[in-house]
Amino acid sequence: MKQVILMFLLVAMLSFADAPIYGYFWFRYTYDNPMAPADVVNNKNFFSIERGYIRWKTSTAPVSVSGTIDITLKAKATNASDWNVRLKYAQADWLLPYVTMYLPETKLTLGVQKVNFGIMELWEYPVIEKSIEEVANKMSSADLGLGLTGLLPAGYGDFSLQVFNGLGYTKATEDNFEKALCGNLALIPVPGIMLRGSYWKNTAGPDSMLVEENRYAGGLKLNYRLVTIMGEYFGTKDGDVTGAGYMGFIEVALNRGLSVLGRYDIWDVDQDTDNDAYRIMIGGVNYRISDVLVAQLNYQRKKYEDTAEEDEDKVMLQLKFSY
Amino acid sequence: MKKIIIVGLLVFGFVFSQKLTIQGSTTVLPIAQYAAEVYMDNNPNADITVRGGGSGTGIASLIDRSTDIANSSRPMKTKEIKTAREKGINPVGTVIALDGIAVIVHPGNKIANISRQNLKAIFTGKITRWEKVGGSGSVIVVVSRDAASGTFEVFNEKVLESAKLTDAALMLASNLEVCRTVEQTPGAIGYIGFGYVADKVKAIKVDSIMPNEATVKNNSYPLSRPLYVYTDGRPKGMAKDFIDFILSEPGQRIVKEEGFIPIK
Repeated sequence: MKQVILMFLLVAMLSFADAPIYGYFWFRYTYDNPMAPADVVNNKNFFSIERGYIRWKTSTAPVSVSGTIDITLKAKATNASDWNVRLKYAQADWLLPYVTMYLPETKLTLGVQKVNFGIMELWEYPVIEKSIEEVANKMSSADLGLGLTGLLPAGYGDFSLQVFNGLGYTKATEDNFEKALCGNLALIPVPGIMLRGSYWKNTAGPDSMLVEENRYAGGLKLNYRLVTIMGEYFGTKDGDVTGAGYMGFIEVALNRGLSVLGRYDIWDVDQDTDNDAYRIMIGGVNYRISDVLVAQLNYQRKKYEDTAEEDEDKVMLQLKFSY
Repeated sequence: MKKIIIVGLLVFGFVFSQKLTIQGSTTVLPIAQYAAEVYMDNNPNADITVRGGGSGTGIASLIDRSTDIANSSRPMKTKEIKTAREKGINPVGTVIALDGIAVIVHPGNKIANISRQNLKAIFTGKITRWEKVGGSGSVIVVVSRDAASGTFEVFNEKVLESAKLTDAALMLASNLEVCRTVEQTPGAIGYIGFGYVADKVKAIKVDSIMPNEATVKNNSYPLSRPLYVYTDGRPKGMAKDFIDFILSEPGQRIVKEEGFIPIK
């Protein structure tokens, strides 16, 4: 309740200050395991608000300040405390005056900001599921730290170098003096072909039990007329444990409002251990009802390598409303 | 039989009509509209749709493939070029005319010249009264174009130097609206494309230079700029034919008739 009051106070204050407020809400209906017998599956279907972004931005050149509050009603909510109000982004961007002559829009960003890593950075949820990095629970989409980002000349790509606490935006502080480093480079050598490479290194845990974490991603995005194809290799090395995965995605626009989509993921958290991998297959349709409203219908199947584990199915219908 | 021939001709016309969509800058709009009318008169099979919306909107439409030509009163930003290339669009710009952003005031205002420094102070809200800059009409009413406008972007770059526009500014969606508001408001100051300057408003010198064909062409007027059309790749087909027409002698005459400055 305290969080909700604080949020409304903040929004009222920003409205008074004339800061532009914008954002979006995602209203979702999920039907878990529709093929399973009702008596073995709890919460077979439910409504949720998976994302409720309220954003604001104000700028006095060369510095701009922006923030995003995320209001969600967790999936399978059972009581009022399942409402979640949290700060997703809160950052100050300083456009660097001389560097921008050579590397356009290069800026220094301080605060809770987007982690520019792999396909996660590009992922605008054309299908409802998160990117492979987040589904594997190996990366957080935002973190607290300092970043240098910019564009390559003539629109040939972008770059970023970031330093973070390394625990994601849900935790403010960490237990050690080690900072996470994240580097990303995207190249667009010809229109419609984008190559990306990302690297993340962190030393996590309390000082007495530090573990070195490495993350690698290499990806390709192709756009040709009405077809978009994305592919990525994602690798991890946490101490001695090596994980690897692949994600492939295709979207075909049938017309300006309607598109069909498919995605296929493989993720193996420990390549030296058997029966710990899974595959995710997703098929979906997106329909743009208006400029501010998109409907998504997805069928998703998660298949475990371990045959003792039941496969999981879900059907999701989502309305994305932006304002 | 006659009905069959008429239906046949309609079907033939529908199948063989060439369509072209143009969207973007409201500054370039009158040139595009007039040129489209003349082009369609000369090419009966051509079907050209021209829309405004602002340079940003036109460029966004080119990137999402909903227009063939984007009109823009500013060059594309690197961020827009990157987004376009990522989506498989190769934006190529062609300069079709030159323009000067004219600073206009109510005709009753005695001011005849303003420095860029004072212009910046007025549009950022640091100067709010006319007597401080040699004008008349007490309180200054600031009239600006909205953020989707290329005219705003160029004014923002050349005058405001990216400083924040005063919150008191009226943000209007077209050159015509700015012109009308300044005409009807004694203390108003605004800026519009050179081609929109009408008798009912007063264009003033900026840094002691009046916008005209000579000062815009030799770039001595500080708010001079080229006007562009953008296409996906080098213009081809009907888009090329249409752009070639604007660049031809009759096309450049249209540019001049609409109050802008021909490039040739």
